[in-house]
Amino acid sequence: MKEDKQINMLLKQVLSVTKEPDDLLNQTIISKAKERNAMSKKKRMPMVAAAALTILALSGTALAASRFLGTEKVAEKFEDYKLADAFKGKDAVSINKTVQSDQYDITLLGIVSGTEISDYIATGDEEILSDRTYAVVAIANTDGTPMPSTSDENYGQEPFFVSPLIKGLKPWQYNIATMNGGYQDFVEDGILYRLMECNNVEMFADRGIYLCVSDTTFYSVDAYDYDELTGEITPNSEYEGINVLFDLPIDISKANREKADVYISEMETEEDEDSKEDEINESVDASALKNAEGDVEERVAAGTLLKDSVMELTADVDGAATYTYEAKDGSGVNLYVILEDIFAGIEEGFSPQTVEINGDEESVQYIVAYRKDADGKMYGMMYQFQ
Amino acid sequence: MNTREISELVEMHGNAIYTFCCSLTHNKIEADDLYQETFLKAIERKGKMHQNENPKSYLLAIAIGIWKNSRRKYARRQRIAPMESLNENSGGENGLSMELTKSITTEDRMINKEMCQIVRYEVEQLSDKLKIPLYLYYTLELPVENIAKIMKIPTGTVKSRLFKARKELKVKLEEHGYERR
Repeated sequence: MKEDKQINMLLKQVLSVTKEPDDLLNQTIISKAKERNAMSKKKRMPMVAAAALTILALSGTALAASRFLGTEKVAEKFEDYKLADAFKGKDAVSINKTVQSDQYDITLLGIVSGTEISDYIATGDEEILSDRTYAVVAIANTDGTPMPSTSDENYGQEPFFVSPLIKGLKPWQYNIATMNGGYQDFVEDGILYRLMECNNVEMFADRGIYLCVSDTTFYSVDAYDYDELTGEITPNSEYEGINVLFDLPIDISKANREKADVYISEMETEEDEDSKEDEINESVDASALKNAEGDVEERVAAGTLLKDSVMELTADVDGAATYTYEAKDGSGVNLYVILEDIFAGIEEGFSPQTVEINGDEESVQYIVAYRKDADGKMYGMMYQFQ
Repeated sequence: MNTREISELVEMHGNAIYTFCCSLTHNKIEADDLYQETFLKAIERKGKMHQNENPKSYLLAIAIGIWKNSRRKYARRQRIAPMESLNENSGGENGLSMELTKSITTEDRMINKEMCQIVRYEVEQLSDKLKIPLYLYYTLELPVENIAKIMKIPTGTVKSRLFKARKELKVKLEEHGYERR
């Protein structure tokens, strides 16, 4: 325990560093963000046929009669006119269903899915995501107290997690956080409106799709129960807090089992890769250790000795030595070694301990090796591997 | 996100995010690149997710995502650790505190300077799984709960990874004479 504290202290001291970005770098970010905002605005094309407008105006009237803004108005608040059009289109599902939970009235206003139905570009890790699902939820205090506005310091004190969940798929694995999701909030007339988006979930329509709203930051296994046998997800009745679950009435004909299977397979592959990566990291560590204990002489024979790197190691009062090598370009190493440790049990030859260093180019690697001669002199040296 | 909001985001969290990017990349050019990509991706996503609640965590999660998915791009370039970081910075503001070193000899302090450099090197050799929580915990001084949210793993896992990281480091550092400290 004492040693753990000691290393804890050491890490605190060594890793506690603060770096500041250049002002120019920050200015570049702000300028680029401005450019991108400008580009997004140029992409707005609210080209809706007059006939469609008439029909949509009617559905808009129906919603206007309720206490909430319509889904299209919510999209317009975020200056996403293309999405506003999608919410007025035939593929949108208007729901307008309210559930009371833990002193909040949670209303699912509507949902729409489709390809390129937003003015804004959603991006995954390295790709543009165009096939998306959007849903709007209104959250109000049951007692009528206004929800804090987004500029209020109390905003966000109570988190809300709004996410589609899919029957039969583990909700902690398939939710907004894992399906490239995001959300935006605004408050009007004391009501919080949330527009959430994620990868298109319509392909799962034949399985059954839910929309959960909980007072958590991420999916909570406490708020909901998942039956692994039936695939059913239900609110946990013993949960003290918000745990609403809506059934999403998405047209089953929109299901695409093949696409869904590919999606699930890709998600599982990603998870496998993550776990494999961990395993690989662990096996690489183990292998590195094994190599270090193996025949260093054989290993370094495959590399090129940097002649000017050979340095005699002279023990200081602590029995330690510093091996230093500086290359012509100014790069180098500076290693502190305890000689009796690295040459423990070795009368003559290479120490099993080496230090491996990645080169500037991916294909180049260096190994620092330590050798003891028959006369007892000890040397450090560096080998280069292509 | 308007220009004012972006400026505020950069001003409030720039240093923490940049420090984290430097820790991950160990290279100024790559740190600059990762830092810039992180903010631009957050802006692109219209990232209100966590923005008002905990924008720093949101940005850190994005930085980790970019880092993990662009390993080849951010493949180690620092090769042999730069001499200047070994000799100049290791005992300065980034090294041992005066409070700790005041009672030890100059010789010990020299050893500690070397140890700082060794610790940094060995931390860098850890897998991302162990290294990232270590930087979040020790460099950014985030609580375990925040790290769990950022990395989307349970708090228990964060704790066990920190424990494992310290354990692995201890073994590595002992090879460098850490026990003698």
